[in-house]
Amino acid sequence: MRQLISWISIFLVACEMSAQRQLQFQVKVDSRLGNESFIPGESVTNELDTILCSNLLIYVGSFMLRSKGVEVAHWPLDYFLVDFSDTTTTSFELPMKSEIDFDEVSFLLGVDSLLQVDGPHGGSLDPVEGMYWTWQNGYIYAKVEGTSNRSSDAKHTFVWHLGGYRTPLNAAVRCSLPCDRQMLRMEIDWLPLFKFFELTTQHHVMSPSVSAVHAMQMLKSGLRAR
Amino acid sequence: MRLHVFIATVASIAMLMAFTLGTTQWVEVPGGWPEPVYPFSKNVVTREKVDLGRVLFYDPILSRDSTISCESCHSSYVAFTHIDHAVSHGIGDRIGKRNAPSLMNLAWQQSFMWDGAINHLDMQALAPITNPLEMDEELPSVLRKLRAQDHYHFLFQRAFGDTTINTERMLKSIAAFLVTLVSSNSKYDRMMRGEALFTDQEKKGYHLFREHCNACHTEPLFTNGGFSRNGIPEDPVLRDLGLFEVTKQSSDSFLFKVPTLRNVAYSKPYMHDGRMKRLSEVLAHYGTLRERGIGLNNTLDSLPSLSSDEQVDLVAFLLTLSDSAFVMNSAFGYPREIIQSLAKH
Repeated sequence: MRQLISWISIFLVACEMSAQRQLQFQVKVDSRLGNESFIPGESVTNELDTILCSNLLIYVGSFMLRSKGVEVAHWPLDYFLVDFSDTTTTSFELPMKSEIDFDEVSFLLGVDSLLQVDGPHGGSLDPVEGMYWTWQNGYIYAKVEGTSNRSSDAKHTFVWHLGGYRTPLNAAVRCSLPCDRQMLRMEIDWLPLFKFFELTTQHHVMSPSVSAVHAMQMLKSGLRAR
Repeated sequence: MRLHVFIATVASIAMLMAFTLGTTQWVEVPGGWPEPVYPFSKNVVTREKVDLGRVLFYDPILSRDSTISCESCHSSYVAFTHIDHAVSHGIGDRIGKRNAPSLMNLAWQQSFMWDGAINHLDMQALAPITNPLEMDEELPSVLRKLRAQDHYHFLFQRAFGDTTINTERMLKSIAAFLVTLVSSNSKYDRMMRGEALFTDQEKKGYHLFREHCNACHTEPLFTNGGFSRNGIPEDPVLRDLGLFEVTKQSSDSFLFKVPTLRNVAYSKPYMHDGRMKRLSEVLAHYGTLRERGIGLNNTLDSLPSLSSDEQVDLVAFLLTLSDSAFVMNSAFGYPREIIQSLAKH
């Protein structure tokens, strides 16, 4: 009996040590509009106008670690829906098998096109999340909704649902940021997007289009590592 | 050791057989047909899943006010289309802009809807459920309503091994039912199997069909799965641009999915907006494209003018594509026996 207890104790200690050793690559995403924090429910006034965002969500995934341009780790099927009104979604972790050296993190803003011709998915990619066009297959990669003084809409609203997986309207963009630690803290600056869309005419974009493709490129240009 | 190898071999063969039966038992590939494109390995079709999908297909709970089911626009007795409706009416008698397509042999289809907007059969049901002109419901609400029904807990448990009700399971169950809708027992099929003979008129029609129609409405599915211009003028109210609506490529303007002609006699009216009530109108349209000087930059440009006799012969052949066993198949109809068995539980 004593021997059995000893074995169980050794097993539990081994499990705990193993758990402690479990490596994670951590990602934290912040949202900004220029120099200001930008989250739903808080208005931001800048040189352009006053903007109040009501919904701000974006898919990030297919993270990849690279060392001198060579892939050393990849999570191709892990996607995260970052909802800036919910702080539990703005940071997440990816399990690492071992300690590895890397100098760059690469990831998709959006969802890989191959996953979008593969039937239904669960988790963050479940269409129930409201980030899926049901009338025409495909994920909405970024949902930006709110009000702006500049919007010519009767209620001064803007609704930008950016997505599209079919060539040449595939709007997902692969981005890279320098990173050599097991934590990436990145900012998405939405200001380039607000400068790109002419709110007097483009206050509603809700289907795959050339504009959506360019808009996602604008989001890429607004990324930076902290 | 030898015994272990033997047992492992037998077990492997048994597993392989179980998998094969699981994928093919409910969807037999008719002789001479190509292999289905539906990925059965990712949604193994079982009786339990088909039963659940069939109950969902006939349940108006999928619509916002529980008045419209999938069956409302896809009735089994008319090859799963909406008889006598140019375009379907959905919730609150709202009118859509396209003719409800017939549903059959879907495991062989690569894309769905007249404009190919849906790329996977599993995802198809989401479109009508959320379309404000059809069922006008939201996905979270559908799942909430299903979870509130005891009999769905039972049906999901039976189909998937536990009572979790989620989007993926709901969609895969509906797809599992849809892939069982195989129509392959028309007079044409029986003729091909040597079990029936065409009349002289049907034979003439078949020859004309082979010569002029088969490029797009290719045997044995009677569609090539592609998109084509049909030469009918744009409806100024509906303003439907077809495939362009999805791809935004100007070259795709007015391209519509080539529908199957199987069971075409049941699926009137015709064309993507249902503007033609009779097959004879369709034949008269295609048969006079040349004399009306309508060029479409597709195979229809080589279609000669068809005499009225030839048009009648073609219609006679098209009628041989009617599969009464398919439309009368009780396994595809309202799931009365499943509902009754649920009542006993």
